[in-house]
Amino acid sequence: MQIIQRNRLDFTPLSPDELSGEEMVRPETTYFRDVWRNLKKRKTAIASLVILALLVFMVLFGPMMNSYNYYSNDYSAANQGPSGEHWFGTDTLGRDLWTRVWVGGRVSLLIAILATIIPYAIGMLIGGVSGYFGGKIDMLIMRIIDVLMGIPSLIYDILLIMVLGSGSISTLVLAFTITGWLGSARTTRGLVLQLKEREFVMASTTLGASPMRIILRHLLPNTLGIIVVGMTMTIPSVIFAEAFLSFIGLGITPPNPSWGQLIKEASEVFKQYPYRFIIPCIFVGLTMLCFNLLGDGLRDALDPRLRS
Amino acid sequence: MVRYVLKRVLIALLTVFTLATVTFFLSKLLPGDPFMNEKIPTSVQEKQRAYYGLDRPVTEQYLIYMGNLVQGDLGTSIKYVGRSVWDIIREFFPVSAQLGLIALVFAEIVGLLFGILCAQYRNRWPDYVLMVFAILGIALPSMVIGPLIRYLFGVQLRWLPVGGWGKPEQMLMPAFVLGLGTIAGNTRSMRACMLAVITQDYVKTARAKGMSPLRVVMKHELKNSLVPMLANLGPMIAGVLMGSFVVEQIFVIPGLGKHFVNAVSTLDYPLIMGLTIFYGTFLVVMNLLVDILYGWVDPRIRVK
Amino acid sequence: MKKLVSLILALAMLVLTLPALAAGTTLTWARGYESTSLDPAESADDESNNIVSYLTEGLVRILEGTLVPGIAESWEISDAGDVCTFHLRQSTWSDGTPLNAQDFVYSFMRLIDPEAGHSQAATGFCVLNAEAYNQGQAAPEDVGYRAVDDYTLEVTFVSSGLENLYLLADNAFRPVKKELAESLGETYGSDADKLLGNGPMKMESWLHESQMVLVKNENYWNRDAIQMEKLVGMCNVSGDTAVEMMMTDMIDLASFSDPTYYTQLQDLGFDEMTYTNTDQFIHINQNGRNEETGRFLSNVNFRRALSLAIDRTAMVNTVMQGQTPANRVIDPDAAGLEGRFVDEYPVENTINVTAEPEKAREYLALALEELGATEDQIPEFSMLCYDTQGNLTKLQAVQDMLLTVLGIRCAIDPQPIQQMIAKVYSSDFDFWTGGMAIGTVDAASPDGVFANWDVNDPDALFGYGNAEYAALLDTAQQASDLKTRLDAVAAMEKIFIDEVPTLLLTWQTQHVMVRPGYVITSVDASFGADLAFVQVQP
Repeated sequence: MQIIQRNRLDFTPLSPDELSGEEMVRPETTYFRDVWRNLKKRKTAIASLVILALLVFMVLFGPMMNSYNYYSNDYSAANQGPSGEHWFGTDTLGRDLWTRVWVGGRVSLLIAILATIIPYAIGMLIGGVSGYFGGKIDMLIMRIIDVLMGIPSLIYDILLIMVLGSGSISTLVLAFTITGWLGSARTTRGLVLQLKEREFVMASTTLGASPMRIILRHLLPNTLGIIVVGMTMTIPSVIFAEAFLSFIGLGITPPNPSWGQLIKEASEVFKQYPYRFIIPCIFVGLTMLCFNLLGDGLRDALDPRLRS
Repeated sequence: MVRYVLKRVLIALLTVFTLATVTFFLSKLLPGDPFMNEKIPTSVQEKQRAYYGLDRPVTEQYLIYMGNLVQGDLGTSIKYVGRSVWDIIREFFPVSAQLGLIALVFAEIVGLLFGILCAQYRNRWPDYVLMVFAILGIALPSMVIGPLIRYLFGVQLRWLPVGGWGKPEQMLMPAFVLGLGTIAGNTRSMRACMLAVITQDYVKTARAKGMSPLRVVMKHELKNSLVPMLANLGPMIAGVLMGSFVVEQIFVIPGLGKHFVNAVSTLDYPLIMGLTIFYGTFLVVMNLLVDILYGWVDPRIRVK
Repeated sequence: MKKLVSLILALAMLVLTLPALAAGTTLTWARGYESTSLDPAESADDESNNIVSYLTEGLVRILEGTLVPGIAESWEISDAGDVCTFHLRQSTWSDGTPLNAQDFVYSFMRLIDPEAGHSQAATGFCVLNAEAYNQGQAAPEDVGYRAVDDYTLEVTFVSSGLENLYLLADNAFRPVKKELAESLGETYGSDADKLLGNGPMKMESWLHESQMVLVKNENYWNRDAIQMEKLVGMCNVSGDTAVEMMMTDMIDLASFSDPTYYTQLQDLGFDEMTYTNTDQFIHINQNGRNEETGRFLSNVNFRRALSLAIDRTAMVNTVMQGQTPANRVIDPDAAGLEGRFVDEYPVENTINVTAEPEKAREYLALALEELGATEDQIPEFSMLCYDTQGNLTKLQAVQDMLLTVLGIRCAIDPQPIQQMIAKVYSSDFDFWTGGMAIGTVDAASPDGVFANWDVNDPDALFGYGNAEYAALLDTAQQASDLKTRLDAVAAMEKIFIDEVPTLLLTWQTQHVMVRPGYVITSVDASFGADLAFVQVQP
């Protein structure tokens, strides 16, 4: 201690105009800005992002672009092909498909996004707690996850939806949540196990931060990157599951459309009215494709090893 | 190794137990009553309920069911009068398994090839084209692609029979449709594995020594990237099993998939329970085998 | 590329030519789903019932709505009308062993066996003490069956109505061989080697969910009437799959109600046979699923308004194509005394086939006045249905019509079959859509149209509370001459149209598409074409 004190006296303070010596040459960059910079280089990912943004825009505002609503029947206009009046044609009840496709997209995307974000949030919290505390809690949670992971989720989705009563967005989301949090919990726990040994966590612990604060403020934000990749990959599978459930009659209650419902309605008459089948298929396909490509791009952008 | 295997087996047993319990109570929560029918008077319905033991308290039913389950007795179907759940599984599972196996092999091979090609031509056009193609496989669900190719090859071209099961030519279309969904997953994980391996020093060394790219792939990369692929097998089997429901319906295949959905909607409790437990156990055993295999191939896993 | 296109076009042309296969003594047909049980005491669904009717022969059969002899050559009814003595012909099971009156007594007693709890037991309750025996309150010897000798059987019924004889033609009264039934227990009828019949066909093989092969029974008493040597049933084939299998010569016969399918085959030169088989309706729960909805639905003017808001013609033109708008309860094909019922008993006040919005709103206003309610107080109604695309489309049309014409909001409640039935029984619905086999007009037949709305039957789905209607139904079921019965039916129809207990929508027509050369000679409204009696054109 004494030595240090003595040496201190040897320094002379810098004059203020010399302080600018350590100025940063490049602008400061955060983790996410870094990822964004890398993502921008990937044309497919950016294209996907643009298409998805367009889809979201259309889903929100498409139905307002003509004068039809999604439920009113018009028997004089049944089963018309795409035309200047009905841009995507009409269905058996003479309903405008342009409107139904976008309203249906609203439902499908809403289900997909909610049924991804909610289970992921729950999974992250559980995984974070499990990974941070370790020991008996971790052991218990991980065994429960191991056991539940072995149960085929779609079977339980079917049973749950039948118990909860089919037909509404909330039951679908609830069923997907009950079966869907396991994967993210496991991933988060793995990441937290690595992160909690890092210096910034130790620093925070030393400063007396509560475990919950550490988990919520330090650990989970740092897992977000990989989790977001997982989420973009999950959304397509939820869209698929919704379509599957519609196909077996457990989807949204008509006259509310969803993309799965529209495909189901048209699948038996695709030879007579191909447009009714092809149009929703294109949007489901496009959405799933874009989310997948975006996920791929994000993952590449997050993984320094793959940066070329 | 023994400890690792024992632990896995214990978890598997626990899983099956949880599965049976959860399914039992969930199926009891399902609204409705299997014997309700406008043509059957309530007194006869009571008799039938008593016959299947459904008039007893739920906890008692549960104990009886678990007791029977331990002895391997899954009970008798309510809807298919006089046929035990085992009869139904024995009769229809081989068909589903055969279909699933062909689909898996198909998806595995195509996914492997696509993955290798994608990794080789990373971020160049073959990579994009193949990925888009593979992802289209997921993006076009079997209920979309099934009727389309059935109409094209079955009716328009008449190359393959529209439906049915038993002959090799009847298996082609359904296996293709069923496998399509898993190709993308395979391609992607194969591509990722390959990329991870490509950057390893030993591969770089091999290349530097003048080994041809193909030999590098076959000798070094492929073997090492196959390991994580194994881990995908479990979820893939699950996907194929569930996917078989739609495909079986489209191509008129006498498989187990449709029985499950039908059992749920007709409230055939013994069949719902039996099939869920069977499916679940099958998956658990598959995962167990994969885990053990995985632990055997990659010793690091065991320590974790 | 051009070559490929022309190749595909050429192949497409091939498809559009007439199927080359000729009719023979083998017929392959499309079956919608798998039979659940071929045990006569358990067989409940149409796909089980039709197979049972090919494999077995009862005492009597119903052919084209009339009773014809089966194994019973003749019968006498006692003066009191409750005892019937059947004289059996000498016949055998399909394995050649003789069949006698004791076999029938065994089979009938097995049906109502209290231990077995057979699902079809109730069909047997028309016989004296049968129900008591089934409930464990009577001894087996008290039940009204008596084998007088090997070929004489005496049956004592509970009542003296004519409907009893019709009931005996039901599948539940088909014979089951004692030795086999006792050794197999509940597995009887679950496999090809687990059943034995005496009907026109016998089973050769049965691959569940896939293929069923029936061959001609050379021991059938009426074997000369049977031309078909082999019937092959392809399971789970319906809709689009059936169309494509017809096109590619995999099957010879399939039945459709949706024009989407049968029109594709009409152009290809298949023969077509049509019959009206189903009433499509939306039943109104007059008690409502709660007090609030019941308050409105129990008002007759409210129900009239609903019916007037429905444009049946528009529905037939779009969502229920190929059907006929129902302008009354009895369908135009139904037989009357001599000619058609609809000609002999015309109705003045028919059901509206197009929407009459002004009139509907008048009735609604009247109903609201009677109830002392305003339009804003009309609650949202629940429309229950079995979850099929056809039902959903149909209900969406009605839902929109009620909304546009009357401003009445409804929510559709699609359910799987058992859940739907449970909701029907617990009255948890306001509207419920269904289709019901039209049955015979003659109320003496157990599947008579009006028996469905039997107020006295606690298990009937639509307990319709109207005393006058109930009295008429009793008359119609018990009177011994047809004229009295049909008069009662006509009076019931008038009440029905006026009171609107149910919104009748259409009569559905079934289109049987068949390869040219096969001639269908007999059709049952619920089971479809009787394939055992199909004839081959020379």
